[in-house]
Amino acid sequence: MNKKEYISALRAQLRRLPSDDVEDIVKEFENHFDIGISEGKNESDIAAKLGSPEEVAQIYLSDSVPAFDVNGASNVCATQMPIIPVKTGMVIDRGVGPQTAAGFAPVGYAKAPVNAEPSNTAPKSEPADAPNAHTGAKEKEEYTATGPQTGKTYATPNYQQYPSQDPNVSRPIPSEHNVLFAVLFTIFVFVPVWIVALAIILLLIGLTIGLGALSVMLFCWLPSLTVAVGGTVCLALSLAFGAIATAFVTFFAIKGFVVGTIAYIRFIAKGCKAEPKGGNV
Amino acid sequence: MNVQFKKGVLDLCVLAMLKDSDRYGYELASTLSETIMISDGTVYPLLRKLASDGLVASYLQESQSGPPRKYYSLTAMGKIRLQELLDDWNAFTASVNKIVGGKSA
Repeated sequence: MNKKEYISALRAQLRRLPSDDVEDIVKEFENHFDIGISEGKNESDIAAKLGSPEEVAQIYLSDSVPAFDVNGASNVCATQMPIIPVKTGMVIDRGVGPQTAAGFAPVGYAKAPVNAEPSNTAPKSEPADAPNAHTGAKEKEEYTATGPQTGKTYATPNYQQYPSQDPNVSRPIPSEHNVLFAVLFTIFVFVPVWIVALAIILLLIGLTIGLGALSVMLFCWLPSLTVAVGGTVCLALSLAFGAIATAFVTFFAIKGFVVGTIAYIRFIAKGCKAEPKGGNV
Repeated sequence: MNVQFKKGVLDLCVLAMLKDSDRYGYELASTLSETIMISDGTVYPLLRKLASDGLVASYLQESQSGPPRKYYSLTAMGKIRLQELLDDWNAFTASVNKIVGGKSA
């Protein structure tokens, strides 16, 4: 495998990562190849020493598990399934009670074997309803006092540390849309530009129609030569503005308004994400 | 050597190599791959992770021979982490040696 093949295989394997990260990683590997080549090594040896692109990419992908906080959750792309780290001893199934959670307890808490006869005083001297009464071991004194159910309490998982794991909190499905950016973009860029462009067009059209109407009025009236000259000037100006407005409208209305608005809508609909630069193989 | 062993000490090795001087990725990769038999490619993801954890910083530097090199240096946080890992390592190897070394302890 030469440098080019290695890099493109690596790039393909990394496609789930943000494109900036991919570029960064790829650059580092290209640099690795370049240094190796400058030291007189051949590309396939360098590639062989790097390990397979799949293997390498796998490390990057497993390192890129999103940070575990609610705020960060909204940045997770829906196509990227987060791998959920499980805290040791955490009760995953909500239906599992503390009794079965004993399965997570260290070996030292395991139930004593039935035939491991303890010093015969310990269990028998206990009152019938004391520590292990609730375990159901009341009649047969099979359990030693160190069983999992005696005094060992299991704390509920600490959801404050991993709030996004808390099954009792309902959360909206993380949206892919960056709403704040969309709103700011709309208010500060899209709307002002739109209004200014519209105002210019309306002004030009207004001037065209206004001056044209004035010239018609003056021609109809025609009281003197001065007025006739004024009318001619108005007509000329009207035509000039009309021509400018027509050119402006044709060019910018079609290109700017239609294409621009469509691009804007697509941009907003895609969640304000620019198209990735370059394809991934 | 066992894969899990290597993974566990790789952070420590990289941080330790950066302790006295800044090094570039290729250098770290080739040294580590020779000494503890890992593939070169595993060093780069690790460096990236250490950088995102703020333990190492990187900068580009031209080289007289060959392409520019991306150097890595230890941050203040990296130095603290290195010390922690070293302490852990020393404590761990000491207690393992007590067991496996048997009579010498």
